[in-house]
Amino acid sequence: MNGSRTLGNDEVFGYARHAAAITKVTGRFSFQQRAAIFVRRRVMRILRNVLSISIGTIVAAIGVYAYAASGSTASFKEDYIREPLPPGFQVIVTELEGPIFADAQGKSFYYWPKKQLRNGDAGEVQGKPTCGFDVARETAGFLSPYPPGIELPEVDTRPSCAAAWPPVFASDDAKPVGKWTIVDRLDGRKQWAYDGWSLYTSFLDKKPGDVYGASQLFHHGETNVQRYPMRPAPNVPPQFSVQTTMLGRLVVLHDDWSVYTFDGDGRNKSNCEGACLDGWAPVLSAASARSVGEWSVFERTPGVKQWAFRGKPIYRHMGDSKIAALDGSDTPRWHNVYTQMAPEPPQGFTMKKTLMGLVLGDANQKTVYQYVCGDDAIDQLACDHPDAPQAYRFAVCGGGDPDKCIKAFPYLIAPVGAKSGNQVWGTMYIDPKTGKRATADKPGALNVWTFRARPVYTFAGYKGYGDRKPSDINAQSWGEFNGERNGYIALVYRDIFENFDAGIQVDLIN
Amino acid sequence: MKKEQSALVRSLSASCMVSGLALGLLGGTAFGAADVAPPGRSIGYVVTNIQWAVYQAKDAQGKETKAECPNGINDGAREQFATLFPPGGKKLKMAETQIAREAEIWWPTPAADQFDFHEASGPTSYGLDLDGKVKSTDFTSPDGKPGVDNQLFRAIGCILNHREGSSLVLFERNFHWSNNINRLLIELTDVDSLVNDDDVTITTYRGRDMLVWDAAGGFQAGGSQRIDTEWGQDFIHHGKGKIVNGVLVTTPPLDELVWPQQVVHNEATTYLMRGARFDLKLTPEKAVGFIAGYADVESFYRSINRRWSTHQISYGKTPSASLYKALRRLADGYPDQETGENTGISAAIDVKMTQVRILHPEKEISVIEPAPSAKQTAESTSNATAK
Repeated sequence: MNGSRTLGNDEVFGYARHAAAITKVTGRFSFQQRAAIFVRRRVMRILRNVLSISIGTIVAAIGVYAYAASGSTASFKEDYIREPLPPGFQVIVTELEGPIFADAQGKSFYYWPKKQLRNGDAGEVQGKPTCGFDVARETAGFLSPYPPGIELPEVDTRPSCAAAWPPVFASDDAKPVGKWTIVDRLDGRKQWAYDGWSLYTSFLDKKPGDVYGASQLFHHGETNVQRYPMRPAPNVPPQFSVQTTMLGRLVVLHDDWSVYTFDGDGRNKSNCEGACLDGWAPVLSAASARSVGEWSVFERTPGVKQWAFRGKPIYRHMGDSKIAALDGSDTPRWHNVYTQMAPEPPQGFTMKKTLMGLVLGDANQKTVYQYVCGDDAIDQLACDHPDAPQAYRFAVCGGGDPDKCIKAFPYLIAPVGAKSGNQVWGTMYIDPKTGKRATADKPGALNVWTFRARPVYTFAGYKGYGDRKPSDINAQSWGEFNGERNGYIALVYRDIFENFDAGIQVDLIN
Repeated sequence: MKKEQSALVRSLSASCMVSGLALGLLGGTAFGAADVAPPGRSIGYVVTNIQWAVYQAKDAQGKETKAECPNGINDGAREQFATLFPPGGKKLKMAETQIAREAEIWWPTPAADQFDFHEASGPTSYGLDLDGKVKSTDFTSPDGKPGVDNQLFRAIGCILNHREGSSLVLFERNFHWSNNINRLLIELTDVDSLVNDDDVTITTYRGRDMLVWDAAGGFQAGGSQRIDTEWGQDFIHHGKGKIVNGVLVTTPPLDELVWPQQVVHNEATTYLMRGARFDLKLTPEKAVGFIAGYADVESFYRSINRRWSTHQISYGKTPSASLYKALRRLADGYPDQETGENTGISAAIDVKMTQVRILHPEKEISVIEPAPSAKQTAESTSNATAK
């Protein structure tokens, strides 16, 4: 890479010693808190210039968490609007997705909104559940250039839609409550719906807090006509909303523009005046607006009211050129706003700069990828996890050969006994010959890191085309439909391009 | 023009710079004349159009003859699938059909092709003489220069997606125009004249900003582009060149040139060319011409397929696996040290650039921060004074 060089041992260990010294002084801090101590823009610039790009990469990566960790948000959980629930139902504040509706056993609820694809549409409209117990055996031909009617892989063991997405059945004596209604299924049974959307659980979720079936992150979970977690409304004023990102639940305006806080402000008091206002626009409230939950209204000047979140005045960054941007946090003492932070990656992962932004790397700063896959059947089941047919993945990662796959896209091996400490990151034993789950005692089984219960990978490559240096991201969008349908996508924490920041869901391609 | 420029000439240049700058401010261009030094002896250009050069023969009326494709245009993935698995045949299974085809696309081999692949042929092609030889496989440029090395033209010349007016060309152009952080910048420094200068410095960057359109639908010279030093280090290349009769040439060729080629961005793809030579006609407002060298075969193939997967690339009938075989068959440079296989294929890109003011980080208008307090101002003044 131009302008970069390999760090000498003194530099590497010097940095480590510096980090250790700070930790010693300050006690045991979380990744975010440590980052908040280290990172300031000037420091980053000095480090970049004086040390190397590599150090800058590490620092910038930490900086992402520093921005996010402002205001001690690391310990907060997202507040939501309480509403009457049917008996036994509950809300679980999950680690990545925030508050999600769940059943009495803690199984997260999902819904499946209809979406137009190239050659037809799939999914459901409100009030009309279609996910049944018949097993789809052929492709639907939604996505060209391949025709419909092709027999799906592993069709004899393929689950039905309702087996993969168990409907939330309602008992005969169930009564509607508020937005909770009961809809008729085609098989004659009753099913719960919320806001008209028929509700399902996922066969991938095993315990309370699991949200492995689907996500509101962009490029995560199943693709094409996605399912989504069903959530209560976040307790934010009407002009705000909250988006799921890799960093946490990001507070944005209703039109998805990011908002920020400033360290120089007091509690419910803005000190951003004069020239500051050229770069930062206070998010004003209506004259009649009232404080609600963690949101307060204060009078910044007589007659002019501004919103504050957890006591911190809220602003828009005039320099943002895209929605859900993190750009404003590049300015010292300014931070994006999160209702809650996402869990940290396990120890040993790194964050690094690539040409598309900040991306998760392994210990050697090689880009970490997830595999995404949705099949072309009427029920749109996912094929992105080890319980699904692996033929799709083997085709793109090794030309159908599992041995080539594991060389080109090696699993990220987890140390024996490694724990992530959260439900988003974990480990799993995999049989690399089949790509499916294995028991620990199976010969050749690999203990691999998982993100949302799916293995993660690096890209060693083929014929010299692979990830070699930290900035490489050469398997990004590797596969069908730019990797969105059957391929590899990097775990991107900050996407610098338009409308893709923070992994936010933007539906541009089907 | 020699570096030992007289003081008088420098003085005149400086005057012209000032007046040129003034004219530029009024007229939207950086300076007025080409035979004087640009302001600050530097000038920048931003790519507005970039595509692999494919010569398409036309008749006297300007109508395409397709003479370079005597065997016709190639079939694409959709047509090849229909050939292999005709509708109405036996029941198809994913593993043997669709998945197998995708496996061939993502893990192609140079083995013999089961389909006829139509290479472009004929005597004429765009490009440059890369090896200083005139060989039987070489072309002659449309303006009569012999020895043109452009084997990539043979590989892609009869694929609809790479021909002018095709969906891929139009889509890529449109996305290039309508997004930011995806464009190549060229900055020339130590420039004494845009007509003749035997020693200029060339630096490439990725630009961060949108293009500036003029009222007629073209691109307005005199805009600005911030360079991407934060995320775009891979696109920064340094080289030397000279300007001969208004044409910038690299001396020597750049070892490598990596440039961004993206669509909706999330594919984050680039192209890599080795031994890159510039042949760009410069004016104060534009730079137009070719960049030629050896396209890295794997990067070329992967870049397109990561950007355009089978569905989209079927519109312009790219037979990906067949194309890969052709690329490997026609590759003519940069042999692998172990296998001897050529890893590069001679190629040229057709480039149109518009002059811009290139903003380096230290020259950018900084983000406005809160006004410092009087004490802070005093401290800062004190520090400055102490220096």
